[in-house]
Amino acid sequence: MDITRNMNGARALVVGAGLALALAMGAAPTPALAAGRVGTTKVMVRTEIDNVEFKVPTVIPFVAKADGTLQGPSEDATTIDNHSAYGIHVTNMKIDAMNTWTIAADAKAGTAQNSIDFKVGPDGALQNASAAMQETGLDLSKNAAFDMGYQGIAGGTDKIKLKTSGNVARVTRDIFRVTGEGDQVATITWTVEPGAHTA
Amino acid sequence: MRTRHKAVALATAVSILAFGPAMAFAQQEQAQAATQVTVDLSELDRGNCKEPLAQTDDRRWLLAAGATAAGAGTAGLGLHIKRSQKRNTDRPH
Repeated sequence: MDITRNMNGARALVVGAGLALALAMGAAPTPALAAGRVGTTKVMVRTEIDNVEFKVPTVIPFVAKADGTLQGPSEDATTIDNHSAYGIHVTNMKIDAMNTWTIAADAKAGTAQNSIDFKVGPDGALQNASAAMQETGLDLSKNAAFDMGYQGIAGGTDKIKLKTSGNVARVTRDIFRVTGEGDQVATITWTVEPGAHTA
Repeated sequence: MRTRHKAVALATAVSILAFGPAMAFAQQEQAQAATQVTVDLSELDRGNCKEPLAQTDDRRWLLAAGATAAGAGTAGLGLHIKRSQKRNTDRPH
């Protein structure tokens, strides 16, 4: 009888110790359990092309001197401005001749009447208009000079200042009694994408 | 033969369906704007012109006209004096 009673006491002791151990383990979380409860969420951002805001000059008015040299507006007045919160880049420039003007690499060479050559672009990266006459335009995607920083960036690199130069030769059109901004010789179509130039 | 045509047509249709939307998407991923380029004489800086042609020509014409008028007047006066002298010599003393 005494033995039986002592056995029951031993069992109770074992069970109690087990319970205490179990409670202790539950109260102290292990690193293994914490790692198993982690989850991650990616936060992404992108823009749509419709959200890109920029401005280009509506007109580049050249004035022809007596010797045919073209005098363009100042580069401070002829800018492409980025109005977006991210950088953008001019990827293409396409030029179409208007009226009866002939856009040549060198207006004074050749025999065509109403011949004009002109260059436009940032300082040190002026682009020849005749090279942009092809159907696909002139690829500028790899030209760092056509990058623009986000709007308001320090240093004023959120805009491209466009320099211009050119010549006319053998003009028969009346470029004196023209109304408005003058006789239209070309249209430049600028294509812009978010981001910077490609390597 | 008919089976081959069907296969070609099917492949064409599949390629249009597969690549058409991608091409359209690529074209949309661009923004464009246009700039006119014009030329005229209206704002020409004439600061380096030494003689504005219209003014110079007008002034020269006026000078020539003035000289001509003065010459004609002088000649007329001389003729008048000569006639007066002749009339005086013809008159009986």
